[in-house]
Amino acid sequence: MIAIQHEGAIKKFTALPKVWTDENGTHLNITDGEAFGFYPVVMPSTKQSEQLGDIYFDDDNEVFTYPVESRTFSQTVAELKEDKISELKSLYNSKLAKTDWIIIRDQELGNTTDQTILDDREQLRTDCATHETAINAKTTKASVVDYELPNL
Amino acid sequence: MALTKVTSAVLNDDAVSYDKLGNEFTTAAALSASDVDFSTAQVFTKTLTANDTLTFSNVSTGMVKDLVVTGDFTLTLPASVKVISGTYDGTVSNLIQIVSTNGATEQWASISQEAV
Repeated sequence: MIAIQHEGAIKKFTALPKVWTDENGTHLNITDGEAFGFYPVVMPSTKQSEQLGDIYFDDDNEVFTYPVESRTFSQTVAELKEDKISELKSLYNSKLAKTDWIIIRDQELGNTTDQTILDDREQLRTDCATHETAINAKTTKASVVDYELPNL
Repeated sequence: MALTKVTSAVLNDDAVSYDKLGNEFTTAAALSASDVDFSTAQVFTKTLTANDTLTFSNVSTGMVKDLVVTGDFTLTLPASVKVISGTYDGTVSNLIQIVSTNGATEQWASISQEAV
């Protein structure tokens, strides 16, 4: 993406425009965008607790970019933890649910459940508890929001 | 000098042949400089060898001129030109047709290339 400062505003384009009109004329077939004031747009990476502000031109690096700002949260730290842990448990619950039928079948039929299945399920519960402890140890809103849940 | 009113006695209806038209309607001129003088030719040709800025002169409402331009460089037309269709392709020959709808204040341009 590229952008240009024009008539007091910053206009963004996915590519150099085929036609561009400014105070100097109507330009066709622009190949050197910077000669006309077009510069790349750099998107900073953000964490979940952050957001992008308004686009501006970074004179030092000659790019358009965005300031990274902290998001504000109306919930308390405890409420954010509750939400995050709920999300965590939902993830592990979905994972455990995939083998629930095996447990139910074996209980119903009196079969011995494969130890690998039992171990895997136990490991999931242990991991979930470890994450829950880690989340509960966080002390700031940003650290709770930014806590990365596993990709199961 | 007394003016002669153009009547059928002087000039018959349907009597203005192509040959009688002025050069500004019938000739093609290669642009060596950057000014497109609308009073001198109908078709203007130019091969860009670098980014170039064209200016227009003697533009009157209703005039229609054709620019045939080649060259993979940036071509800048006056800001009074509004492109209504087409894009310039530097790899082929481009026909840029200019219509003045308000003298030197406003012209409309359509850009096209040979069909392939």
